Amino acid sequence: MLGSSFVEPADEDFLRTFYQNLADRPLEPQNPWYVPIYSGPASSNADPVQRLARGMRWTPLESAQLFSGFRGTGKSTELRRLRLLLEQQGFKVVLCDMKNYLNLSTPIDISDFLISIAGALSDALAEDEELLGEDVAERGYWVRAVDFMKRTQVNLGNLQLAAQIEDASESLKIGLRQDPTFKQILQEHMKGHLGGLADDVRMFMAECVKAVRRKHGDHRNLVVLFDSIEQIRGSSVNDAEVFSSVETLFVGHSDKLKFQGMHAVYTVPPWLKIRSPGVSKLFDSSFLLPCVKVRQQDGKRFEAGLDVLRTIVTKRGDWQQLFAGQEDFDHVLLQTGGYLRDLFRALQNMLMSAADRGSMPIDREAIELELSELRNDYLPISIADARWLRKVARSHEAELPEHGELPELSRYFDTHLLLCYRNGSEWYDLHPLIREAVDRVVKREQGKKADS
Amino acid sequence: MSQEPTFLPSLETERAATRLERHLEWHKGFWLAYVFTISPPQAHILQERVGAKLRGQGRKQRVLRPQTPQALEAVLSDVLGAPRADCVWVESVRGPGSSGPENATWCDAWTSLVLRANERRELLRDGLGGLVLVAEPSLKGAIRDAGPDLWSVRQFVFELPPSERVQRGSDALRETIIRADGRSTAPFVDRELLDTDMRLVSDAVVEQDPITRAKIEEKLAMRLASAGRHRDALDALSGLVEFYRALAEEHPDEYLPDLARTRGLRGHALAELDEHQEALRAAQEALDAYRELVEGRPDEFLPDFARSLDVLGARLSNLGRHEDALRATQEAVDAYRKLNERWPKALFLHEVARALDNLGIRLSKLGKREEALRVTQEALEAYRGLAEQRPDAFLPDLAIALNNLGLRLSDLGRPEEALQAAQEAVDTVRGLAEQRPEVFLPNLAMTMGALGSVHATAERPADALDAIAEGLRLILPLAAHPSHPLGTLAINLARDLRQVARAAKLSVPEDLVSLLDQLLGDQPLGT
Repeated sequence: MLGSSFVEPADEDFLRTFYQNLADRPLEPQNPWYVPIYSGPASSNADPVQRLARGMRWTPLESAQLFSGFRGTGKSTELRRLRLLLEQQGFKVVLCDMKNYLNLSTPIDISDFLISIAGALSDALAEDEELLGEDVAERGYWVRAVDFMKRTQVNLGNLQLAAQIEDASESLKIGLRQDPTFKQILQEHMKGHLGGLADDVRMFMAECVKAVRRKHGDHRNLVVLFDSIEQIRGSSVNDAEVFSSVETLFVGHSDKLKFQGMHAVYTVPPWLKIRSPGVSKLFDSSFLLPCVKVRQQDGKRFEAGLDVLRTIVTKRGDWQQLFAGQEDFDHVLLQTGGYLRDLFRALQNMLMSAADRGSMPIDREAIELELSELRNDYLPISIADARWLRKVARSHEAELPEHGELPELSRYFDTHLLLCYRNGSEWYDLHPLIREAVDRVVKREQGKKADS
Repeated sequence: MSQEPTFLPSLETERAATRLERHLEWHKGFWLAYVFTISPPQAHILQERVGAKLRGQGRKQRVLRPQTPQALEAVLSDVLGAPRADCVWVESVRGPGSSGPENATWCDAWTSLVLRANERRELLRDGLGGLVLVAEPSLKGAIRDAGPDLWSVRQFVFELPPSERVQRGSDALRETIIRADGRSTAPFVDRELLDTDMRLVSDAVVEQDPITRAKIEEKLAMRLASAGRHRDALDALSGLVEFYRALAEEHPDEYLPDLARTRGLRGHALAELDEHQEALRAAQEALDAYRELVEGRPDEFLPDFARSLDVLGARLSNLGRHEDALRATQEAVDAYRKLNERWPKALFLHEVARALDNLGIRLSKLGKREEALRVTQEALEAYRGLAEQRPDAFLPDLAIALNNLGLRLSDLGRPEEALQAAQEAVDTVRGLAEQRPEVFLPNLAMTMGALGSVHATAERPADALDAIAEGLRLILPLAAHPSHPLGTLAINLARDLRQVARAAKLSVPEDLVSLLDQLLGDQPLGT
């Protein structure tokens, strides 16, 4: 569209609808807007969801796999696709959102993690009429856990004092989720009983598998997707401790996270593979969802990735009405680095800009203004951050200097200062919007040093 | 050079409000916005605009302004425990001057709140229409890092400068904007788009409810004012004042604030049109309304009351009623001091400093030069402290205070000190202009002009000529367009240049001769 025209009421409808279509929400795979990002040439034809499903089909009896994704790369959508795919292939799939069971801001320990995942599965099976619709082994896991603690004489104050075991199990559930002190006491007390607890959880998980098979037939394998574990993170006070606890959990206790007859998928933070490159080998497989690649490592445009993004946006609205030409649209795609949430946010703001200005298509100045607003979200960048980020930009490696710096690296991923791409193996790059700011900070710092 | 505050929201606030209003029309489902500002008034303006929009849609806004870190930490339970709200506004802004160990406590409280909100974001999605978190800019990084999931689903991040106000120049230097935080662009309004807006709005507002229509018209009036179309702005504002007057008579609690605000805006438009008597009347009416409001709701309206006193002082001064102006400005200073004492961490120190600076001008006009110098120095000290903590926000104000100190010292016949202050003002603005030329070059030109005046008083005509000429050259590329807002500044600098040259029998620099002819023609000196 070459000429510029004023926004008429009909166009306002177009802008509004396009804006609404870009709202952030996970998609079911059947949704007409869904675009298979990770199954085509844009992802080197290495679809992590297909691979996860294949891993389960090909691994006899049980498996434990890791699934990782950066925020806004479509992890929730892809997990939904995995669930659909597996269900179509005859699996019985349970999705456990672990943020309802874990305290995501305190260190995690294998004992409370085991209790939490068993409890989460127990609740999910009991709640889902189609799947099971009743407590496993009549009482469910929470009551069983309290029993275990009483048997092993774990003194947990209120748990012990509770008159009814149901009250105690509710206290346990809430305590794990909301009370760091309770969790700490539990962790201390369970240290001498870890072997027993792990066996008890294994027994319970086996009961779950059997219960599902009893209802649906022996050929129905149970898959449990433990989601949101990747969101565990500390605060400035305890981040190192929390990161270390997650590493210990998956590296030191991987054997306790595999259950007979069950395919388990754990969502883990993306930094786990960087900090512990060997972690993948401890599990049956490990996959990471990268951003959609828009440039190669050498900076050249990656047309397959741009094509995917164009398709994604086209399904939501006619970008050709908004932009004067593909060059402008591609500029937005390149500047948002294949990070979908930023792309959608930028487009939404540009739609508003068109409405504000009362004309379409929007000009380059308006595009730059909106991109600049988005850039501001990432600023300011400290000198130390800029130095590290610039090193990553040059080497495309994480450049983790030592383990103590992991919270910083995690923060770069969490806040998308760093984006991850894949050509066979993963590589990293700066968010395109901050590239100039990073260069500027580093150069200014170098200039100051030279002056002094 | 004198200063005169206005009630206008900053451009960023206006833009944020426009975006949020449209978003509320377009969006469905949960949304999240972060607002970073050190200015409670700007946050208040934005919150009111959002509230008004929601009211127009028959929806409700819930506003939470916790006063202690503990209360802030506990906000989430309050939000999630209450019935579903269409928009929850959580604001904790202590304002400029906040520092010290207490800062860490507030930072911890925000971090804790965001951490928990991050974990409970699904509950927030289910339980709320929208959530707006309003915090100080220094907390942006901590808030972003503490809740990355929440941050990644944000719809908007707005950064609002402390305030926007028109800096009125000396007799020679008028109408240039210095933005308080130095982050924003000049209040440029595309006239073609404005014409389109005017045309489209008249049709678009027909179907709106009267309150929404009034808000749209007010927005348009402010845009007209920014475009220099003060007569059109005045017409629109006069209608709005009448509209709100009628409403306020029946529902004073709800609409008296709107009446007070539009009266103030109308006064501003009148002042711009040099209708000083009417402007004074409007300022007095705005003050009366705020006086009534402050009696019933002092916490809420004392800042507006103080500001309207400050404006009244400026209006009286414009009419030569210097004694009355002094009284009003002194009362404004007292009100701001009271606010500053009442609120934690010198929340209103910035406003105290500005009012003191204005008081210095009023005293100077009455020939009370020693006293003028004393209060200007006090203003300067306050700005120095503020600029040390937040150079991005307060260096422009520091430059103005230095500029005024130079003039006060010059009045007292202390040329060396005056030059030192004026030079420091120039150096400060030059540093800002290097970073943001599009914002600060006009201000640099203005301070160069003021430095020239001080040189002239110190009987250094050659230096005066150099300084004013340099100032003029800085804005030449912009001021070459007669319709450009900097045209007036260029004319005033040109006039000063010619005056200094003629008085000292010096030649106007060659490169500026034809420009002076173009700008001034045969205008006699002093006009």
